[in-house]
Amino acid sequence: MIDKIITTDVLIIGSGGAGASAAIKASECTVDVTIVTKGRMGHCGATVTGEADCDVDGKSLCDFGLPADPRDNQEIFFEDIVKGGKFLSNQKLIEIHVKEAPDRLKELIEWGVRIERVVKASGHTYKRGAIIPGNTLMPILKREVEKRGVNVIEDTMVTNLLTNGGRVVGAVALDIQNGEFIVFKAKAVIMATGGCMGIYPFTTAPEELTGDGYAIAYRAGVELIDMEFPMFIPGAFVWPPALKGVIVPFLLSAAGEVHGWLLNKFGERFMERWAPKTMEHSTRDIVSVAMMMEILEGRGSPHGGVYVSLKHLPDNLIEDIPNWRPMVKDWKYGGFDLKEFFPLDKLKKEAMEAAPYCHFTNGGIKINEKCETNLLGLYAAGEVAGGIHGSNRLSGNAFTAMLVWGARAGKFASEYALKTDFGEIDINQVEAFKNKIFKVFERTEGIKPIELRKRIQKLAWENCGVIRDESGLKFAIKEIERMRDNELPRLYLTVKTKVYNKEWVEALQIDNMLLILEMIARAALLRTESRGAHYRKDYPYTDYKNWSKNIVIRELNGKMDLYTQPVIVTKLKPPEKILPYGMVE
Amino acid sequence: MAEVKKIITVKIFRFNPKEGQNPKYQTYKIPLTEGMSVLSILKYIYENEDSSLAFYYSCRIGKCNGCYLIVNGKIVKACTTIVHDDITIEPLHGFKIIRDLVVDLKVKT
Repeated sequence: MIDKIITTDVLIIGSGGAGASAAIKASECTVDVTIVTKGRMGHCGATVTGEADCDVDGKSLCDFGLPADPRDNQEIFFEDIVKGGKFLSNQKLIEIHVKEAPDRLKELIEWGVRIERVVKASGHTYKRGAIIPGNTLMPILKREVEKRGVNVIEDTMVTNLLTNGGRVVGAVALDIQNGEFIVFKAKAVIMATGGCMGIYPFTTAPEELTGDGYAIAYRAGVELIDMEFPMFIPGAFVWPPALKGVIVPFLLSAAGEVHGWLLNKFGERFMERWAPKTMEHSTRDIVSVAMMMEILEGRGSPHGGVYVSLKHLPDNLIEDIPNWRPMVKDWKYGGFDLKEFFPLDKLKKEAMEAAPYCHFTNGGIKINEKCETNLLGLYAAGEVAGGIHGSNRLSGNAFTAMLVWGARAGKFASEYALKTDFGEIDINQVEAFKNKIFKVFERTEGIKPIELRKRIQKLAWENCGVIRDESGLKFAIKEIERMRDNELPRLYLTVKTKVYNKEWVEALQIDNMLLILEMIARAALLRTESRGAHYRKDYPYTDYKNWSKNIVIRELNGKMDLYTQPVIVTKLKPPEKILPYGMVE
Repeated sequence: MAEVKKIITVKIFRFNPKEGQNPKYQTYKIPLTEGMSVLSILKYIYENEDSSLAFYYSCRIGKCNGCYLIVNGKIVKACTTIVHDDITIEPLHGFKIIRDLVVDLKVKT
């Protein structure tokens, strides 16, 4: 029944930056560490896609000899995170976050990571973004993982956690390469699977990020927090097809660099209506909402976005951009030769087209200071963990969170594993999970995974995306319930092979996507205000007075249950006011 | 929405050694629109023509280095290589083939 059993003290699910950081720290204790990943380490997950800034307070950066501002310190960094997240961050976590960020950056420098420059992104009082491209960071992290003898199992998708007597005892997985069913026996499990951006049709993240970790944890009785806040950025190209998902380099640049003007189809610079002072330099949540409003109200561009224009610049300045802008050196960007699509002469005449894309998941598995969840033996770190970013992540804090919390999860999980025995595997549980994986082969007709995936993504985009309202969210919940009850059980595979069957993996992912979309929709419906990455058209103000609390999601008696809890405050109290959305107090 | 420029012929290497299928080339006729990459073509085939096609990719934007393939005899990244005409797509040479375009980079042949 079981093709393979793998025994390990600490099992880490996910091989990106958080998983790697956890593995490195865990292997400093005398424990066996195994990473299992759905993709291929170094060639999957969001870490490699980060351009990316890694936030550390300016004073510490100066201590490392980096060009930053010594007036900055950890207190100010703390305040910026809490204010940027609109007072929903767990402040106990943020105190640790700002304190340990320099230690992690120091470690990276010792491992040979080069910091290209330091930038000041919107929402930060000072320059704190140490630029470390993810595709140079990940090979170094992978090398450090390999050096420590960590077992890395690739092309293997975990579908469920095994539990017994209220603790985690392992996990089950599908080996995508050959269709084998694998059981992992583990003392501790660290979830490091990243976000759920793949539930949206427009995402800057790899499409395999279907939020598996949230769904796996939820099904094992784990609580999640702040799930109404998937974050969107302004914006990525919507045209041509090859550039879909690629961030437009003139929209997210640091302060002081060239910004494109955002225009609607009437040529109106619509940011004037939202943030007349900061315009396109406003934080990413507000620019995304503004862009999406133009798109939804029919003032967008032909390929479903809005226009990004550089025409306000003189021709010779446009020509000069590739010479001084490191991101688009030689007019190459993210592996693409921009001459193919946008020769500089064309940009003197024509606008590009961009839309908000889902970029990050602010919420996630609820953790405490030790990365512990409410399930004994289960830890979470990186994007899959919630509580750090509140309702909106600051630019550059994804890498910091990945490194700080990855390392902490590795430390505390291995300490726990050292004083724990392996738990008993419940064979009935194993069998039930196996049946669920293979059931889809039994049906010979029904709904194809690709069709259902597209329907889920459309619903996510139209009703649970950048802009929400009560009727749209209620419609979405009805649709989700209908798909769960009538369509999910009818999924079938047109491809019968068990060897690298993409359709099979897709079917397993869809199960997770639908569950997560339900979490987002229900939490978004409950939160009757607009804050950070959550914009309610019918409640367009931030209600600090009544809504400065977190929504927690769990499974209760087979149903999705939501409750609110007070925000954990250590230093900075939320204001008592009700303010129009986007207004900075 | 997108205007089809022309129909191109895409020839793809197919092989399932674990289940005893012999290697062969399969041909697809694909409507090419402006600015399609090799990866856009593979995804088009998977979603519209033939879901049994096996290929690996992750980031889609030239950063993960996961989608290297041989296109018209040259090693390229599928995601950043723009298609203008007929193409032949093969897996990387010198590695064990898992299925179709997916190779095991840990096992050299």
